[in-house]
Amino acid sequence: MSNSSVKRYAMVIDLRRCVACNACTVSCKLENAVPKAKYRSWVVEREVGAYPAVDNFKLPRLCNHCAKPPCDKACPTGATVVAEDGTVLVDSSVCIGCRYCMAACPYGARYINTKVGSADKCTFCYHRVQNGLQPACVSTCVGHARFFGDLNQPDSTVAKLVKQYPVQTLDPELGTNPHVFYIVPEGTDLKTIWGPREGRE
Amino acid sequence: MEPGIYLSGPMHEAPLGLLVAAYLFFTSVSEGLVLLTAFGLWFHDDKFSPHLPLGISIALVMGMIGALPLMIDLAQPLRFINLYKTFVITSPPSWGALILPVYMGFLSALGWLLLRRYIVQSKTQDPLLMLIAGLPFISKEVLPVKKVTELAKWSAIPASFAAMAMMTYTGMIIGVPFGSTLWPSLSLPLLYACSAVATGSVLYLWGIKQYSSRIKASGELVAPLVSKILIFALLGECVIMLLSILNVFAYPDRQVTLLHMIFTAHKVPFLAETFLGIVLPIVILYKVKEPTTGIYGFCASLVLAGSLVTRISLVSGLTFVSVTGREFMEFQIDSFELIVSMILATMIVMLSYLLLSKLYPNNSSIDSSTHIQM
Repeated sequence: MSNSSVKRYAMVIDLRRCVACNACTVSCKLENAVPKAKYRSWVVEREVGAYPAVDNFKLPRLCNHCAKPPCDKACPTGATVVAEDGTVLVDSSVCIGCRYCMAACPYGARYINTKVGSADKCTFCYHRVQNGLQPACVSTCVGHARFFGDLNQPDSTVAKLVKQYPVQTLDPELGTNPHVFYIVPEGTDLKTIWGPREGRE
Repeated sequence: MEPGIYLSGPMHEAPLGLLVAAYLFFTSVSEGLVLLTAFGLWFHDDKFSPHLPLGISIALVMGMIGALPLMIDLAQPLRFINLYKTFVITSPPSWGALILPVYMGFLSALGWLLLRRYIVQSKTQDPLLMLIAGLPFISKEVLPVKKVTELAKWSAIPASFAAMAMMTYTGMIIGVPFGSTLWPSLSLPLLYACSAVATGSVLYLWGIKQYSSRIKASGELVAPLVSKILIFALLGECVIMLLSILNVFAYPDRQVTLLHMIFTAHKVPFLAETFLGIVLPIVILYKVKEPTTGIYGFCASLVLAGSLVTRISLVSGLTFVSVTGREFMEFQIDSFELIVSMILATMIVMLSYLLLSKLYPNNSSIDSSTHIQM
């Protein structure tokens, strides 16, 4: 992290605070007019372990706005663009809907928006952030589990949280360098919550 | 990793489905036929020549059939032109947008040359066939059979390279989902090369069996050759399957083991590919002392079925039904309707032309000699 004039937006999600109320899911759908049965932001609930040692984890999910997004590399028309602030966006007027970006995304964050006929995903509420607002999911989060800000500003909440806690990202071994960081309960590996790839497939 | 279950949480639809699998299957059959045609043309033209027009025609049809599902699969099929406005070097579909038309171009040229040779040699007087062969425009004297054969031989080389480029690109497409097990493998282009030759052999064997009464001597001569190719292709498939299994062990982080492949959701495609497509044909070919063309054809059919399962499993993991419970998405149905409408419109134009040719036969069956005199 550096004190740079270039912004690098990121989100930190504190899993210890998430209660899986899905307020983020609903607010995101309303804010972005997400079609039925599609989600830009959602919450996965996973039960881990065997009786009597059972844990129940909640994992809010969204586009990870990777620093090295595989979706961007796979897009044949240049419809997927990475904004200067690091937000990964889709130009729906250029997208042909081939869905290779969906195949390339290891996080299953993309879907086809049938209303516009193009690939779609979380934009960190780009339109809100440009106007100085927080993303809808962050504003709505009941448990104050979500934090959004510029990672390049050391005094921002996200920068402080990333520095303070041993944050984890999804599938770091893939080298995508996600910019959605998770604060997990002490002694827990995010892999345990995220689950094996086999189950996800 | 502790065992666990997902209690809730939506999932989006599988990105690549049956339509992409159909594309891979048909185009790989086409590629296999092109490679076999090139082989026959260069090394055994005397034995292969009666089968080459049929083989290359099927390759052309398969290539065209294969491209259709790919178009239907686009949410915005009319925006396919965007593929040519931007070239993204890291994107397999960008390469495919270049390779596919080049391949179809070389394939069409090769097909036309072989068809012309066949039409000239068979001395047919069918006006449509003569028109396809271009006889009204380029006479036999200007382009004799010997010259056509030479041209076909040389055009078979770029066609074969284009076919191999198609296989590589196909492997790249499947390699896109690098986060998924088994897919990010450099062995995939090789897998498609082997499978394509195997499936191509199948169609040649079927063709030979079908037309053996008409061209018996030639069929009997070609069958052992194609069968040898099939056996090599089978051995290739074995090697690739072994590589795929080793690939599982190469990614321990992905927590998928060989046992997963045999006992979990992977078991159907894995067992079908292995036993139906590889083991059973090998056992039959080994056990039967003097295999006939029919037995070769049967074994080849098993390889064909195995390769079809391979494609479906590689693309969609046998997810025939999407998470939403619907096999095809609305935009795919819309795209299908749009493309079928365009094809029907093209067919109407073509039929109108044929009808006009029938109504005015003098215009369509111009004698080549007359044309030269003109």
